[in-house]
Amino acid sequence: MLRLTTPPPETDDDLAHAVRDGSLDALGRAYARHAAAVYAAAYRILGVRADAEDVLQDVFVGLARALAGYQERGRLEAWLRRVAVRAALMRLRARGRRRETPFADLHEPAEHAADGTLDRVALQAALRTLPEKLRIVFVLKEMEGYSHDEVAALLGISAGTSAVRLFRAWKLLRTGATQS
Amino acid sequence: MITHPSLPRLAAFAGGELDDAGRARVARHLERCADCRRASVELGEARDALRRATAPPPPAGAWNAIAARVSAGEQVILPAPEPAAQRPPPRWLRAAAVAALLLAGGAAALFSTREAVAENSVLQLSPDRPGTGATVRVAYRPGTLLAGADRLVLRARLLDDDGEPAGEMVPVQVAQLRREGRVYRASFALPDSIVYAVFAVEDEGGTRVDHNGERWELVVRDSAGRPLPRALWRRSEDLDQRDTQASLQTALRMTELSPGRPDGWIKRFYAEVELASQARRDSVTRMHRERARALSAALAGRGGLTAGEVGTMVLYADAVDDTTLAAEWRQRLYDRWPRDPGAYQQRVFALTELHRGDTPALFAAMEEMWAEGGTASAQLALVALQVAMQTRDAQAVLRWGDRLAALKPAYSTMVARAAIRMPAVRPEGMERVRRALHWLENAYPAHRPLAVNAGDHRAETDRARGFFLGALGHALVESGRQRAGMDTLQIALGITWDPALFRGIADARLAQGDTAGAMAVLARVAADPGTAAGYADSARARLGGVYRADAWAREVQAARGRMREYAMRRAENRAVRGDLLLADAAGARTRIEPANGAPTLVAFWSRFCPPSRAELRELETVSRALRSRGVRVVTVSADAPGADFRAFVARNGLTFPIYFDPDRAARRALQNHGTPAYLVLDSAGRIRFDTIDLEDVLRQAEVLRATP
Repeated sequence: MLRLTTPPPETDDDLAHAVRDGSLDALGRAYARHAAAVYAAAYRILGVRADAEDVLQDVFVGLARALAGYQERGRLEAWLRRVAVRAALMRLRARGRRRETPFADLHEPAEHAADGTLDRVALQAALRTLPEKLRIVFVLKEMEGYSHDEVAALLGISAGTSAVRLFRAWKLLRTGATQS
Repeated sequence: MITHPSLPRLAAFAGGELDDAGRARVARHLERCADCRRASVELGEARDALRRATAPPPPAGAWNAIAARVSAGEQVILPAPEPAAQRPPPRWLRAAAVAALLLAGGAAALFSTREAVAENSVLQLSPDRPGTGATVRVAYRPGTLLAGADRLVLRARLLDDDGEPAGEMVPVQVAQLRREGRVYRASFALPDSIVYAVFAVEDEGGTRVDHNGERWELVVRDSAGRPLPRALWRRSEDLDQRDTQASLQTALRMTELSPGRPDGWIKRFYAEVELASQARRDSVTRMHRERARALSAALAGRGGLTAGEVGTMVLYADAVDDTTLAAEWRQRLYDRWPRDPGAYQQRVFALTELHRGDTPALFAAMEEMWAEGGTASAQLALVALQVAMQTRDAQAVLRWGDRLAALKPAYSTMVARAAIRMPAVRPEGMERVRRALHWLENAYPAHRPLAVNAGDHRAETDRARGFFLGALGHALVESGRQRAGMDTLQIALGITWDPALFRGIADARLAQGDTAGAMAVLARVAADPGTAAGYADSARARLGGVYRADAWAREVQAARGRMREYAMRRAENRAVRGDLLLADAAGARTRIEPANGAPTLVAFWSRFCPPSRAELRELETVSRALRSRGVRVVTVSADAPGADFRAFVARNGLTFPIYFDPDRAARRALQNHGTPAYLVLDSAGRIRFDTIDLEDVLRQAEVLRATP
């Protein structure tokens, strides 16, 4: 007979309920668990750390309220990443009006690339040089796992356009990565 | 048949994400295709590396900031987390999609909706998938280029099932657009014979043309909504002139829809060879040689072959250098359709091969063939004219030239150029030149290409008229009619600015003892920025030193004034819209500010655009000359930066600064849609010249530099 000696780990659903109820501690636990994924999703789209941090903060500041619409059991991280992608896309559109240079700050010592293989570094570099339209589709489809239909709905383009951009992105990435 | 899986599909295969059927299909393909095998491995690795790649960790202070904001009671409304169910796009977006995404199916969509909209104007054609002879309703919402006009004109290049080559099609006005608020509307009936059409909208005088990069098009469909094979063929042919990659996409679609037709395969071959690196060309050809063999076997076993299919099979086999196969299909063509235009064309080629080196026999055989008549005989006349020109046979030039010009009047300028070079038939040559001038003045204005504005076309016409008037004037002088000749040359002087013409006129005037007249035209040569620096001294020496330096200087000054007048005929004065932002090869943005006291040339080019590529060396020369005169040169490539691109630049010795325009910001700012395009901005950063004529750019920049 199995006896529970320690409390079971807090599930994402429990965590979500606690956050929705306004617990700052619970929000802190959610942050510890999922901040990296949220930040990564935002960063891949925006390419500017300061912008990605703004999205990260906004997502967690607005989380309690947004969780009212959360109904997917056990898929909090995927849901958070989607929220982050949407917030990042909104920010990207705003930035289009401000004209900043994405990925400009990647030339600073990159601690995250320290264990990177040559391939990965070359590919990241190539990803950085993709035109924004192609990069966004690539990130959403290949790295964030959206379908073409979802990418299309997110960006207000057709699924066909999404597929074409993905195709072009792959082509450019392949030449970009082999050149370095 | 072989359809290579797309790169994303290969990546999905490598990542184990396809369903069973899809996986099996790709696996079967990989068994046979080493290229795709290699690509699949590479892509799988690349994709995994990217997925593993972590972004930087969240910054350290972020949580404290969040806790502080939450504690302060701050509210943030986040966007709805789930992508909304797919809503139909807004009406205008749909319109652009209609115009842009004509080919059915996801990946076959060639142009992006957003890009069409980004230029701010939208052309909606409905039905978007017309059948033969459909009535098409048009709604156009102008961008800044044509905003506010009362009336606009819709022009189109209409391509029929099997007519003139796309490059020779004369655009026609298909409708007047009436204004209804912000939208302009019209409708027109698509002629039954038309299978493909490209559209542009312009003001009534044709001074401003919104052609959207020639992307507004219609592809005629069958009753099931599939593009007609001939429609795709014509689209591909049309795109050959300006966008090889899009042409290849069309050819891929053709082979996908109709794998048993040879026309898609030959288009694909030409485009693939053109786009392939030198190293890959052999393997592309090898692949197509196998394809041609397989296709040949399939076709031979099939009934109901058409002359067109057999003729295309001959061309395909020839293109891939399979002479045995070509001979086999050629024989089939001759046996069953001896009078078909395709057979006729083959026989013309065969004649030139058969009688190579024996021109009299060749001409005799061609005369025999000419006597047969037939619709394809312009082809024969053209080949014969070329032979006549090469062998400098003046009588044959006249005979075949006249035959050609009677069938295709647009060739009358070519005939005139050939004939006037033959002193043995000078009076006849002069007559051909007069015919060419008549054609240029009366018919050529209607031959304005779809994407060319009236000013550019007039300049092009004037250049040609100037050339022919010059040739006529010299011929008159040489045949003893000095007075008429000199008058004709004087007329030529007033039409165009052409240093070669000026030099010829100077010679003629000097020969007549008219040193003052000679000085006036030599001063024009000296004033031209394309003339070498030491020219003035040699010119004055030719004048015999009778003119003092100050008289010469006054003459050159006057000539500069005339050059300015000539250049300013085509000047405009409009502002750059917003910031002119360009990206360097690493993606970093640069804002192009007005240059300090000097004009700027902004040249748009693409290595995939044949006309643009053909001018790159000249652009290099022009840009060196401009830079040496303190004019800034900025070129914008429509291509993507990368190893291929760098190799191309190095191979062609291009030294001008190259930027990129990944989000089309520069194109929007300058309201430019295509390549090649040359814009000259004054020192205040306003657009003063916008031309496709590289020849004029040097003078335009010089005029702006001299008088800011």
